Amino acid sequence: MTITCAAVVGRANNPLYLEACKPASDEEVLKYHYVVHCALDTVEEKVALRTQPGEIADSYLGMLYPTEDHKVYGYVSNTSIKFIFVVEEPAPKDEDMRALFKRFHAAFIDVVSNPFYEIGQPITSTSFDASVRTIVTTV
Amino acid sequence: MDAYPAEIVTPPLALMALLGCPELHAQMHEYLRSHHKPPINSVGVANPLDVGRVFGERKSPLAAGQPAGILKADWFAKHRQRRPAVAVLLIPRAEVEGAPDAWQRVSAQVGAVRGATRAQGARLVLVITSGSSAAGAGHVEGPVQEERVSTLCRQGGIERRWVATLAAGEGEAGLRRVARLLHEAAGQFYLDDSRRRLTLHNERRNPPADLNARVAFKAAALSEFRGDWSTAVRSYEAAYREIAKAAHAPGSAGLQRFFEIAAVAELMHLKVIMLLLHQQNTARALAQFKDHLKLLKKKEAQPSFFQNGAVQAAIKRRKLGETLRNSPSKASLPPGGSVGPGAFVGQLVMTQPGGAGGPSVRKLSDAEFLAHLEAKECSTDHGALAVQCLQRAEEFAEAAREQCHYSALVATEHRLAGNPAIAKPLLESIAGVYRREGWRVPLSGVLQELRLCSKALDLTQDVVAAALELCVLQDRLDIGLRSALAAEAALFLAGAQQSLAFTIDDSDAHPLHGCFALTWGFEDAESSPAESSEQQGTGEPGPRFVTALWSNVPCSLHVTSVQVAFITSRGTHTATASVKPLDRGALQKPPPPSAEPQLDAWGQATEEPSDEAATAVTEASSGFLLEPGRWVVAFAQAPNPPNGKIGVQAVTLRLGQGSSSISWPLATAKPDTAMIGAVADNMEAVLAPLARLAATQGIKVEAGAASLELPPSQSPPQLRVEALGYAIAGEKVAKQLSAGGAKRMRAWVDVPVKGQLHISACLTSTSDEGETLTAEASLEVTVERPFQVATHTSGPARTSTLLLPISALPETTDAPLLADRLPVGQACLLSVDLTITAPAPVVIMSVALEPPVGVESSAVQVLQSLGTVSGGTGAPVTLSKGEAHTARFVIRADSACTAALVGEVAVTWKRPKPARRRASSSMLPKRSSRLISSPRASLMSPNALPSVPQLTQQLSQQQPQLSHRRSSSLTHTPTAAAMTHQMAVNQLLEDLPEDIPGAGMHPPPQPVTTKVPLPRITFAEPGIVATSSWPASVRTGEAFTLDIGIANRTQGLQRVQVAVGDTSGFVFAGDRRRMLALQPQSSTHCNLQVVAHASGPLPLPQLRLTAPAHDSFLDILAGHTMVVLPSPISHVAAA
Repeated sequence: MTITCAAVVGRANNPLYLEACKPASDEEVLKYHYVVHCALDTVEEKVALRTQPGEIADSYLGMLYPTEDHKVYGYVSNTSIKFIFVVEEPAPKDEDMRALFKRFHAAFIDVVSNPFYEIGQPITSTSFDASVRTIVTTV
Repeated sequence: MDAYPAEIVTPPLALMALLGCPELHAQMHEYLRSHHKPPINSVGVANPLDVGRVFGERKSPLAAGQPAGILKADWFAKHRQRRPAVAVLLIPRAEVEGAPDAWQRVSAQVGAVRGATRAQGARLVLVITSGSSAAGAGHVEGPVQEERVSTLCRQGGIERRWVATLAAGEGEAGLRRVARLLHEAAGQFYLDDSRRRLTLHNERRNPPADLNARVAFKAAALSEFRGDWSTAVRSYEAAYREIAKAAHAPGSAGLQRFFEIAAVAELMHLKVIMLLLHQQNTARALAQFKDHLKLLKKKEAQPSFFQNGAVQAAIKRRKLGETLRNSPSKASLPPGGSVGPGAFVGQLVMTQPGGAGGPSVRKLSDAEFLAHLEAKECSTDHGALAVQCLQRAEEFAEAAREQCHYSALVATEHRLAGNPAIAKPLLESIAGVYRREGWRVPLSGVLQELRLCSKALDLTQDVVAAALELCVLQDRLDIGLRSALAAEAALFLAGAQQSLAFTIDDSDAHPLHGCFALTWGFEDAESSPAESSEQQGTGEPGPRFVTALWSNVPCSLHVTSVQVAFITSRGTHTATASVKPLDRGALQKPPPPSAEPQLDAWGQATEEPSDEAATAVTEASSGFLLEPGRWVVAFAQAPNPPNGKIGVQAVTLRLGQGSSSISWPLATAKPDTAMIGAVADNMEAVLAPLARLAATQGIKVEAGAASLELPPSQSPPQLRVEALGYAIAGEKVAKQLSAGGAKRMRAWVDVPVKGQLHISACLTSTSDEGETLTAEASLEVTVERPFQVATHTSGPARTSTLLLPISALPETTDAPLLADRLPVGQACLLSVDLTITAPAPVVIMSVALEPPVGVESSAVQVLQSLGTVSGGTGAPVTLSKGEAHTARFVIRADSACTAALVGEVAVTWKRPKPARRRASSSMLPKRSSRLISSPRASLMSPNALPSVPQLTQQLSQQQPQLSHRRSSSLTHTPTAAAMTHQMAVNQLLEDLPEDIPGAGMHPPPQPVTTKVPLPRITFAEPGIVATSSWPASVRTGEAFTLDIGIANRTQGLQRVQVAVGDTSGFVFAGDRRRMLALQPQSSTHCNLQVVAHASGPLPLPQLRLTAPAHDSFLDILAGHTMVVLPSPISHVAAA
């Protein structure tokens, strides 16, 4: 399994962070944007289905949808922040993906804890970028 | 599915050949095709003797070796349309049973048909018809002669059950019976044919995979003909497996070979999938899909991604086609030859004109095959195919964002296909989605397409808008490209060829929202700079409108002027603003349009702007460069509004030669909106100067309009109300009115006892134009109480009076038992305590006891005034909050009286110094007072007169006996406290001098006399009077007598207990408690022998008289002391 793209999407479905995890051309980066943007449809659908009354929702959404070359996995926080990984074959195990997303979420919490970070704005923190790269390279 | 021929994608139907009796062909064909289930196709041959051209000859079996192809291309069509399974010979009954020549003709036809069908193995069915016109006039009813039928069966080589009769009178029932027979015969034929082929194939040794696939495919198709779907699926799957073997067999690496295998495999795959899905066997269908993708070396994907895969494939194919079309070197086919489909599926053949033998047909070489493919791709309209594929994907997409993605691709394909008019609205809607959600990278791609579409449609304004929006997106485009886009936009904006007008509203989704930022406000008149004051001095006191501009466009824009459209009740007025940069160097000289000397933005020649010039304000007549990352502030002088209300409709930038403009309609701005647009880069850094600007300018925005309340142009009625910060109950408050900045008046207002004093003023003026203007100002003043009064009365010394209840006196709550009674004929003491409660010091000038108002002769006499305690008699004393002042008076009543009025305590006081000004209300712009253009009545009623405060007293008993304390406070009654103290002061205004600013604001404090009624006191004869006597001085150890005299002045027996309490310093001899019985109007004495054992002033022993029947007691010696001298004995001893 190789994670080729990691993205964080805000509660207003605005991109906060989207980075190709391996060298990519402009076309590939644009393709990742399209993939992540289209994945938000599935995220909204799964979030709407999982929120039954009295149910403790699982943040991990599983595989959102496959593309020609990749599979897209999603995770949503309690504050409706979406975390998305675009993964190359072979398909990973859910437990592995769940652990990766938790680390991704923790890195995001670290960056929003920075008092100089403005909530809802794109993340430009280099430490967050380094944390994400560490996460995706230790798969 | 539309790309496949109909014979592939529709279930095969059996084919019959109707021979003879052509008048029945149409009827039977219609019934077999439309009414019979399953339908049966049929072909008609009028003359049965011509049946040979229908069935033809059977081909010889294939020789061993590799066949020329896998599957004949027309095999399916041949068996569905040209090779009947059953030959139906229609024989009129009259000919069967008629003359010998007719019988011989029938026998000949049967023989011919049998001979023709024998080669193909087709079935023969004889149908003897009767009742039709073809049956002849001499037909007979009843069963057909069986001998003739047997003879026909023998001649045709068929069983008797394949002979049927069809009478005209049977109608549809006869046709149904015949159709069932035909369907059965067809099934027999297809079954026998399939078995025959399999048997024949099984006899082959090591047949090639191609042949295995062909036989299996034909067996499957024949099963499909007879409706045996399960066998058909199995056979098709077997055929597909054979094709897979053929694909992996050696020698199949050639391109044409792969092309043929792929085509056949696609055909078989299609048949398998169709049958499996028809049987709802989805699992096997998916497995077939996977096998097929694996066979064609395609990557596996989920079914949900099929549409996306098709889209990507279509786009790739379109790109490949473009590449091929643009390729300089193209392969070519031999001249004169034409390429067409071969006899087998997936094969292409070259047809070349030959000599006398006709055209020659041959297989293509690999080079020719590639050249043909290339030519075919070049001639294909890939754009239309891609659009078609994308539109289909867009229809299948359920999610909005996925549809948006496909729409973007469709729009791109439309543009590439030369349909920018179709692509543009699609792109605009998609750009709105990305813009709203902040996906700037996809947005940049859409905007690039949109710009190209606009350019193709020659829509300059849209090109510029797209370029401006693109050039501020930093996520995808580099600075070079963005600068080029910005330069292109600036070139269009600066040109005079076309008038471009852009309007930027406050919506975040506006395309140019990120390009510029604008904030605005009205300048505060109090903090206005010098030029504003100068303009006011010239009689044009209109305010200045201030707007700040910011550009994110990565190039300088030549702004000719900044125009502000004001709106008043008279209409719209446009003013040109002067500009000033917030940071140095933001304004630079615009490029000179001509060789003539030009003035820069500062009105100077060609010099660089100096420091002084950079801070100056200048008219923007010559224009300036709006540079990226800089704030530019523009000031515009607003016109004088006739009614004091003015709004800003729009701010417009004139660009280039003045024909292009960018405007911000402020009239539609939301309330409290301070900025339209966004500022790139570091918001904090760039907004800091703007925040200071906004803080000083006092931005105020109302719903629907940016408006400012202004004084009118003629005789502006400015109104200011000033008063002291707080008022003290009882005094008068000076209220100063300032009208028009010159006229000042003052009025004195009575202050209520407690609460809030609401002061409002109304100024009505009439302008030269006859318009009545009304200004209002109001102020609230808190009212404080000056002091709290407490009274204390006590009886004379050494005379203690036990006052008993008198039945004649009414008992009231205000005069409780034994609480407010003093003995008659004795001088009593009245103490008045003043505790200051005002927040500021108060000067107590005098405290006097005045007789009660309205009473001619009071029973109570004031014998003596003992003066004040703290300041002395008549001397003013200044007291702060919490400090006390006491005055004492000696009073006496000579006769008994009930609730006698003592009088009033008149306290004269004043403020030591004026209090500070608390607040003011002025009519200066946008701060306090309002201008109301419509005439309105004054809020103050002239009939509202000042109300007299009503005072109540709060009494508190401090001691139950002769000494008791009462307190009075200045409070409203509950109803009065809620009242608003109103009075009209129109007639009480007094003018103040104009040359002394603030005159009358702090007038000298006036003395105020506050009168507090004293509580009523009852003077009565005491029921029991106790007197005490003791020597003035004694020596230590010397016994003395403490004489207590008790007199009963009542008319009944009174029992009095004498109890001795604490005797510290003395030695007491005798009983401590005694009960005495006093006869009416009698007296008695009680002597106590006491010896002092200490020296000095000693308090007398505690002695309490108690009347248990009345629950009253009296400490008669409390507070008295005696002097005890030292003993002389001890003195002698010491000597």
